[in-house]
Amino acid sequence: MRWNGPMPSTTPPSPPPQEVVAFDGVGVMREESVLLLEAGGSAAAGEVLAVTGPNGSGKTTLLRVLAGLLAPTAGRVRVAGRRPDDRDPVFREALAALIGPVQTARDLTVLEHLQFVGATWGSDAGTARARGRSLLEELRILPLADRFPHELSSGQSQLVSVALALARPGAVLVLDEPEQRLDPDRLELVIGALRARAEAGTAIVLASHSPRLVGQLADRRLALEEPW
Amino acid sequence: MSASLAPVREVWAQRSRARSGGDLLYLVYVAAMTLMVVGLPVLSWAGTMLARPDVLAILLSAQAAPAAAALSLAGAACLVGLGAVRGPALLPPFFTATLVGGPLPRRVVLRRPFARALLLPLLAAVLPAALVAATLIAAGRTEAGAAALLVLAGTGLGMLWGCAWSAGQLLRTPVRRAVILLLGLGAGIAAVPPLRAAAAGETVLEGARSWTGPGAAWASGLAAAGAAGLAACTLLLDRLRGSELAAQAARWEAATASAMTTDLAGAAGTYRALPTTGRHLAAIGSGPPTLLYARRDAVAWLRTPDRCAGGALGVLLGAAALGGAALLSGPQAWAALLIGTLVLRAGAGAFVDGIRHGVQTLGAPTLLGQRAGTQLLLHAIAPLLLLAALGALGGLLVLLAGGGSDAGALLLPLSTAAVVLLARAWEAAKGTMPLALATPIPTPQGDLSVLVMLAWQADTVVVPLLGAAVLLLVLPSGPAAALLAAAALLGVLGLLTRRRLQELRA
Repeated sequence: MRWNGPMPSTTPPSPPPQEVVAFDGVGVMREESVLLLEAGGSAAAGEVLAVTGPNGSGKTTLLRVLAGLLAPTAGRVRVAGRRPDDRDPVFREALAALIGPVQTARDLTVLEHLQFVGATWGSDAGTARARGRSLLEELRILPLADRFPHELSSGQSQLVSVALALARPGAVLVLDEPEQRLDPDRLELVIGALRARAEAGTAIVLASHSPRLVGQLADRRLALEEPW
Repeated sequence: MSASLAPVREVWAQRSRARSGGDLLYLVYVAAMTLMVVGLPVLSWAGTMLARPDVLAILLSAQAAPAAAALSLAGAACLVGLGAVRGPALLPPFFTATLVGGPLPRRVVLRRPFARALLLPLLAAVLPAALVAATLIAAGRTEAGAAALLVLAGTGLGMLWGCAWSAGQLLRTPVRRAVILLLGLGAGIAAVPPLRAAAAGETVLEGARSWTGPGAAWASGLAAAGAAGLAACTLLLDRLRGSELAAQAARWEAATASAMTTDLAGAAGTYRALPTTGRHLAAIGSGPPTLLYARRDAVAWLRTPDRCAGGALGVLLGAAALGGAALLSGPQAWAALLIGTLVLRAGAGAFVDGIRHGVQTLGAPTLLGQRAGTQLLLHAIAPLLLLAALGALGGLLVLLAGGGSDAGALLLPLSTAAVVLLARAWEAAKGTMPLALATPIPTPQGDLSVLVMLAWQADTVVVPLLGAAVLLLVLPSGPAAALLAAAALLGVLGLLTRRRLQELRA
C-alpha cells in the first residue's frame, strides 16, 4: 500500500489545513478473504484525494467504509470528525456519495429528482428547482430535465447520478469511478464540476481508473495494491 | 420460397431433452386420470358442501344472472388489459426473434402457444360453472341436461374471455382503453339494477335468468360466439406487431426467471407500468416533509394513469366486497372477505411505489434528508388517505345499495385497507429469501423444502387475509373492539416492518 501524500507545490508553505477525511490502517476482512489491506490517507477541505489501483485492490471497499456502508475490521476512520455511521444524522449531512447505481424513483423526472433531493434537505421548492436546473446546465444535460430514468442512455444515467450526488449538501464528496461510461467531453464537464466543488471547500475522495481525471483533480493520491 | 414450420419442429424434436410422442401420450393419460380420479370427486364433494340453503338462495335469486353477467364483463375488461402486457400468443425471446421475425405467417408460428394459453381463461370460466352445476345437482335443483348446458355456457364464456385477452394484445392503446371502458360500463350496468332497467338489460338477461335451466339457445349461442371469435383471433395473429411481441417476450422471460428463483416481488416488478405521461405536473412542492412526500406520491400516481385507475377500481371493488362481508354471514361472508381482501391488496399495489423506493435506498449512500424508516412513514401518508377514502366509499356504496345502516360495512373495509397498506410496507421490506429455507427436507414423498419456500412467498398474501379475518370475527363485538383489533394488527405489522428494515440495514 503506498500513500504518496500531498502533491509537490511551488507556493510557499501554509499552515496545514484541517483534515476533513482521515483514515489510517484501514483493513476489511470477510472470513478468510482480505478485501482491503491497511489503507491510510486524508483530505482536507478543498482537497481531492484520488484512490487508484487495479481491479480488486479495494478502492470501492475503502469508499464504502468512508461512506459508513461497511464497517472496517481494522484501523481508524474519521469523516468530518466523526466515525462513519449512517445512523448518525450529523455524519449523513456531512457526506455525499456516489458509490454504485443510484436508486432512482421510476416516477419522477430527472429535474424532479434533483428538486426532491434538495427539498428533503430543507430547501424550498423554488430554490431546489433552480439549483437542480443549474446542476443540469453545469453538466449540459438540461434537455434531459423532463425525462424519466428509464428514458436515459447509460452515459446520461451516469451524468444524472453525478448530478444527484452534487445536489445534496455535504462537506465531503465520495465518488466511485465518476468517469464511467462518459465520453471525453462529458468527462471534462464532470472534472470541471468537481474542481468547482473542491474550490468551494468540499473535500473529495474519488476512486478512478482515468489518468486524465486523476491528473487534473488530485491533490493527494493513494495507490492501492491487490491484497494478495 | 415457401417456408414451413415442419423442419423447425423436426430440429426441435431432435434435442436430447425433447418430449417424445410417448411422453405426450403419457401426459394426456395423467391429465385424464387426474380429472377422473381427483377432479370429478372433488367437484362433487364441493357441490355437496355448498348445497346449503344460504348458498342456494343466492344462486337461485333473481340477482344471480345479472351478477354473473357483470363478473363476466369485468373479467373480459381485465383480460383486455392483461393482453397489453402479456398476450396469449407469445413465444420465448429466441423463437420470437427467429420464428416470428422469419418468413412464416405469424398465425402459423403462434397458433400453438395461443391455443395453450387459452386453457387458462377456459378453465377459469368452466370450473366455476361446473361448481355451480354440481351444487345445483347436489341440491336437486337441476337436472344433468341443464347442468351440461351450464358447463357449455361456461365453455363459451371461457372462449370469449380468450378473445378478449387476444384483443388486448392486438389493439392499439387508445382503442384498447375504449374497449376496457365499454366492458367496464357494461359490467356496471349489469350490476346496478336501476341502470340495468334503463339500458333494457333485463330483457337481454331474461333468457339466462334461472340457473336451473339456462336457455339452450343462450348456452349454444355463447359457445358458438366463442368459437367464431377464437377462429377470427387466430387469423388476426398475423396482425401482431413484432416489436410488441419481442417486448412482451423479454418481459415474460425476465419475470419467469425471477419467479423461478423465488423472487416473486421481482417478477411482479417486471410488469409494473413505467410512467409515460404527466411529466409536467409539479410533483415537488414546498412545505414540511409530510406534504412534500404526499404530493410527490400523489402526482407520481397520475403518471401511470391506467395503472392508477385500475388500482383505484380494485381498491373500491375490494372495499365494497368487504362491506358486503360485514353484512353477510356464513360461507358467503368468508367468500366476500377473501375476494375483497385479495382485490383490495392487488389494487393497493399501484399506490406504494414510494414505499418501495424508500426501502431501496437502504444500503446506498445517503441521498435524501430522511432515513429509510422515516421515508416509509412519509410515503405511507398519501396511500393511506386514498385507501381510507376509497375504503369508506366502497362500504358506503354497499350500505346505500343494501339500505342498511350497519357501521361494520364501513369499519371493515376501512380497517382492512389500513392493514393491507402496512402489510404492503412489510412486504416491500422483505428482502431476498434466506438460503436456509432452501435446505432440502427429504421425505418419502420428496423434498418438502418447496413447501417452506412457498410459505415464505405466500406470507404477503396470507397476512392481510388473516388480518381481515380477525377483523371480521371481532366485528360483532362492536365498533370499539374492531378499532382496537385494527390498532393491534397495525402495531404488530409496524413492529414487523421495523424489524425487517433493521435486518436489511444490517
